Amino acid sequence: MIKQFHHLRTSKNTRGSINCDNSSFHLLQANDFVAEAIHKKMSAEKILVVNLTSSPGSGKTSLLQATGTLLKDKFHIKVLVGDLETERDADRLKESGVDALQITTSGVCHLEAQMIWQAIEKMDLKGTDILFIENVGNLVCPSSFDLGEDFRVTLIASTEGDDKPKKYPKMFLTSELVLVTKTDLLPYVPFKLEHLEQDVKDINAETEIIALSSLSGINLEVWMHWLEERVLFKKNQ
Amino acid sequence: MHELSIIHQVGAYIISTHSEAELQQIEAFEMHLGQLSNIHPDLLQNAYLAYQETHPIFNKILLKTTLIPTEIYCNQCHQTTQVEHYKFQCKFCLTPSQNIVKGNELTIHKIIFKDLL
Repeated sequence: MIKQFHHLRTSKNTRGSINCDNSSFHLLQANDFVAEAIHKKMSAEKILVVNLTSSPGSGKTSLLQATGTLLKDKFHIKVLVGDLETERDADRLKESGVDALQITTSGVCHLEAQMIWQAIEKMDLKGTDILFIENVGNLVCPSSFDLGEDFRVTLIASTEGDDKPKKYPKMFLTSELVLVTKTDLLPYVPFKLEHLEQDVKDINAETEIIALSSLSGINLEVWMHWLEERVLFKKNQ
Repeated sequence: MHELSIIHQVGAYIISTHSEAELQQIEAFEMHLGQLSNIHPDLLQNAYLAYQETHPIFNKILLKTTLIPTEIYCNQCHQTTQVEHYKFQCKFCLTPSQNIVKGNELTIHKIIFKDLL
């Protein structure tokens, strides 16, 4: 059975744009215009777009490597990777057999919709089921930029501490799913999952949370199931 | 951290939408900064000072900022409440709500011209 979602962009929270007075000029209007174009294009091609955000080193690339390996026989996955410099993450993903394209921002601390638009114009998306956007590691600025994604997924590693959601509320406010990563390290770090859950639920009661480990494989099947449900829904829209 | 680039964009917008004669008549412009916009009013003022150095047409134009607190609308009891301590929950019926009605603003809200009378 295909799970029904009211709409893929489940969060009613605005990303870049806002409810402004008619007389006001919104400074992220240009980004939102391009984001909407991306969303329309991806919807027409029935490609699920997932924007992965986190602070640096939370395990976005490792998660995508594991995801690519587990889903390679089921779905065709492509990844856009954002970093300030180097192609290291794209190289890592390609070594794992995941089709990845690096976006180097040359110092810009977040991805903007225009960067995604230019990148997807260069990609052959025929047959693609999921397009992951691995955002620049940063819990502040990427929260304001809609990239035309269906879902925003924020990672927080057990080594970062359980107090992050209320320190970076906008990111968690605009995320549909929070992945707690590196849970194989939970016995060794002062990270209380229940503290994080409380913080996340205070900010956004609808946000789902999955605690997993890309290294040990804990709960990766739950993450796979989460993705599969949404890919099927998107295909049948 | 993007205050300087934001003020550059604001300046460019004001210049592009007004003639030189109109720019001379602007007394101030007001920006609305939502609590969730990640923009700090003091840093924006500092960035504006730097911008004025290179854009003297703005030397006599004041930047006013209004910080907008986050407010949510409750779909259950139809009340609007201000969010405190980042707990997005209706103060009246305690229902969680992400229906944000204020707090995301990042707008040029008003351009104020000199009173010519």
